[in-house]
Amino acid sequence: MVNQRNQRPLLTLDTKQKINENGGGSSPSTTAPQNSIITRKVHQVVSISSSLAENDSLRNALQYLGTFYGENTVDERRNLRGVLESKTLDTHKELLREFTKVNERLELLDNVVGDLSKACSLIDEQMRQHESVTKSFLVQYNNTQQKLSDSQHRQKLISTFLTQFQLTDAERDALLYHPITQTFFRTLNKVHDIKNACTDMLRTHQQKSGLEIMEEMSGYQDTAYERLSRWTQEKCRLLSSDVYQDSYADEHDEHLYGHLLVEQELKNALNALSGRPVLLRCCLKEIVSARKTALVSKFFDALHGGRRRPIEMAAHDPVRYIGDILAWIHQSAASERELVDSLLSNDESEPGTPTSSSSSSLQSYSFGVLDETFQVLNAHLKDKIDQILNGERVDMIVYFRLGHLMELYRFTIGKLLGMNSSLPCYLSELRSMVDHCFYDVLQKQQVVVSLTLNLKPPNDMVDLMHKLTDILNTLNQSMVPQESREQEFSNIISAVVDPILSNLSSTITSQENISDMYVFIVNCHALLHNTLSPYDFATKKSEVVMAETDKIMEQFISFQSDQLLTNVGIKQILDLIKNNQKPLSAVDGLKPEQMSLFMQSLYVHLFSTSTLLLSPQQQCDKISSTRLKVYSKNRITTALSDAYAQVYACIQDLENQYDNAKEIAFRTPQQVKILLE
Amino acid sequence: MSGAHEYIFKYIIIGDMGVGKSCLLHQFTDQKFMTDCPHTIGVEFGTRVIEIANKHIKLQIWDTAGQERFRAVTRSYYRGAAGALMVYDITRRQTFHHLASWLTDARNLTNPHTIIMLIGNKLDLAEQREVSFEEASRFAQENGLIYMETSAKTGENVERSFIETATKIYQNIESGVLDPNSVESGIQVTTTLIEPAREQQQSGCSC
Ligand SMILES: Nc1nc2c(ncn2[C@@H]2O[C@H](COP(=O)(O)OP(=O)(O)OP(=O)(O)O)[C@@H](O)[C@H]2O)c(=O)[nH]1
Ligand SMILES: [Mg+2]
Repeated sequence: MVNQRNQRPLLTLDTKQKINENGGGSSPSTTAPQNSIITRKVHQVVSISSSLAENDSLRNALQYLGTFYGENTVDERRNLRGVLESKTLDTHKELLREFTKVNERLELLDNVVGDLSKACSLIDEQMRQHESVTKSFLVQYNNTQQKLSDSQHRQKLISTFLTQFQLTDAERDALLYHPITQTFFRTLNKVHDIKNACTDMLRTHQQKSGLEIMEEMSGYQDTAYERLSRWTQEKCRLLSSDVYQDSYADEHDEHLYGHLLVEQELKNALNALSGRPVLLRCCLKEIVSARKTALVSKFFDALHGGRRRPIEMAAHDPVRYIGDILAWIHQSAASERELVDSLLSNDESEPGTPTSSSSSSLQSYSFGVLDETFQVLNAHLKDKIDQILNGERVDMIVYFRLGHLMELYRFTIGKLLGMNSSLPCYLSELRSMVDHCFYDVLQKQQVVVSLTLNLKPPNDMVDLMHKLTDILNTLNQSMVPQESREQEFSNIISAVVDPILSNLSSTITSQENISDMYVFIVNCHALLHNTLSPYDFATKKSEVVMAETDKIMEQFISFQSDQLLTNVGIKQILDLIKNNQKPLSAVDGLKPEQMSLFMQSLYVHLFSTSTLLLSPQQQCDKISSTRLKVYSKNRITTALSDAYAQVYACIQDLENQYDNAKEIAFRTPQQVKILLE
Repeated sequence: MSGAHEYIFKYIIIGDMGVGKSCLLHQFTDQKFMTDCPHTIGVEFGTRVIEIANKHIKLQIWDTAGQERFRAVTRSYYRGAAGALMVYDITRRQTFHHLASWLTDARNLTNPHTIIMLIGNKLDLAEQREVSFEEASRFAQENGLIYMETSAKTGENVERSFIETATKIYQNIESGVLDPNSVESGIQVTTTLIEPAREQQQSGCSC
């Protein structure tokens, strides 16, 4: 079969060629049987060639055939089978030889495997023996492993515990030995936390260790706080160091003290110490004493120091002097407050600041510190006041102004230091001292108001009223509330005005010069009234004075009118008219000829402006108030013209039977009125 | 806003009552306007830290009462001011006329290097203006003052006026015209009395 295939491709090529050469030229009918053979062959060939393309072994076979198959001859083709068979035989022989060798080897191998198998079963046997021994070891191993992981777990717990409940060596050193830094505060905080945690521990079954740790921590805390307190006190002492600066620098001073940059650590320290009030108070004491030193030194520097304008330069002007001093204190209080507030405040955001709850309580100390610090100025302030009070005699208005200055600063400084703190309170003490001096002098200002020649208020009184005006101006401008202003006013009034008023009213006792007396009193009242009326807190008093004036004026007018009517004789006529029956012409004194004479002399008085008429006018002119002057004159003239009108009416009355009434009284009351005006 | 500042400048604010001195101060320190600000009694005070040339400067500002009756009291506060803000109200001519007297006080009671700034306040009421910018400007120029118009109500120029004054003061320090350590300069150089912490060195060995 191999051979057949090997031959066919050669034929195939020929046949193909033939088909192509012939084309469609040969007639199918004549070549039909030949064609069918060819067709079959062609099909065979095509199928072989196509299988050849797919079949590798066929191709290999053909290639192999090519190595010994020479020319394609008939002999060759006949011998091919023989050649192939002998070749096959050779191959088989070769195979046989080789397999014999293989077989030998396999037998050898079989022996070895047999040996191995024996060995294996031996080993197996031994293994089985050893296993029983190892088993106990394994159990032991597992146990140990378990214990190890347990221990590791515990170790972790313990180290966590230690970091949470114990200090590291470094921490302990920072707390107990090293200089104080942030680490110190952190550690102090930690100790605090540990103690807190121990309190929780006491509620568990770990009471004993809780107590032990707590005790240990308390020990640390005590030492640490002691150290911190000493350190803080030292730092606090430095807060007065501007004193030293002053001693070497004349020109270099200024209020450095108020503006020290307060180191965060000092703040932290004070905050931490707020957990130990006793220690804290020691530190606060240091602050107070340091600031006192600083403040006093600054105070004297401001007074005398190398300033271009030391306060002492104004010493001749007590109000300015004390005012400058108090203003200086006010400004220092502001600076000092800032310093103390920054010292005794807790910046919560800062790390290492212990228990935040303490900060508010720390702040509560600041007023106390300021209060105590500024107390140091009390004595100096008193010195200055004494200097003024004991020095040359000063005007009483100075005392008064000083008093009000102190009131203003009591309020102003009180706003910074606290109203109840010592310096403001001391200011009110000083104020009452100064006020005392003031009222002392004021009371001595008593003037004896006695009648003057020109009927004007005496010079003493005028002077006093000037002083009173000064005082009332100061009072008016002071910032004290209305009611205390009124109180103060009434004190002043009872010291100055009331004595004058009573003095005046007592002078009217004698009837001598009574008219002058009235005018004098009215004039004095007017001065009083003018002095008081501009101030609204004096309204009531000036109304009282006014009412008093009105009363005196009435007395004066009635006195003057009376005098005038008597002097011109009209008063007597009116009396007769009043006391007798009609017809009046029959009454003695009112007889027609008597009346005629009287009227004639009256007309002479009226028309010649005699002294009888002028003297009351002149008396009125002595009244200093224009209003009252005009008023009194009018009232007196009216009294006269009214009296004339009465007499005139009486004469004209027919029932009185004056025959020549028109001749006796030929001036109408209207005419007289116009004339008098 | 802690104490970390290198200088403290003292300011005073002066001028007639009602011109808005207290309002200016409040606007500067609190950025707020007070519609019904009561008259100042005596002297009040406020502070704020500003920054000039990378330096922190604390302004300590003394707001005085404008009422005549406090004049004697407020005069005690001029001493040692580094800056003075002299305020008038642009809608009230009267307050402008009084400037001469305020200026006399300021000159007599402060030192020659005190920076005086003239401030025309209530700029928001410019339609009721009674003093022109030019007129006030001339007055400022004649007297060697810096001039600025502000509104304490809207806050316009308020910050600028305070800061410009501080800048002038600072320039005087820098140029040596003003010795910040001298007494009447109105300036305080802050120092720290406590040595800086040795934290670095310490924390180094604690880790
Ligand atoms: N429209 C307007 N009103 C202002 C301005 N500044 C102040 N005011 C008002 O003016 C009034 C007086 O302001 P204050 O700041 O109290 O004046 P002051 O100068 O401090 O007055 P004294 O304390 O008496 O000296 C207040 O009613 C303020 O509301 C401003 O810029 N614009
Ligand atoms: Mg004010």
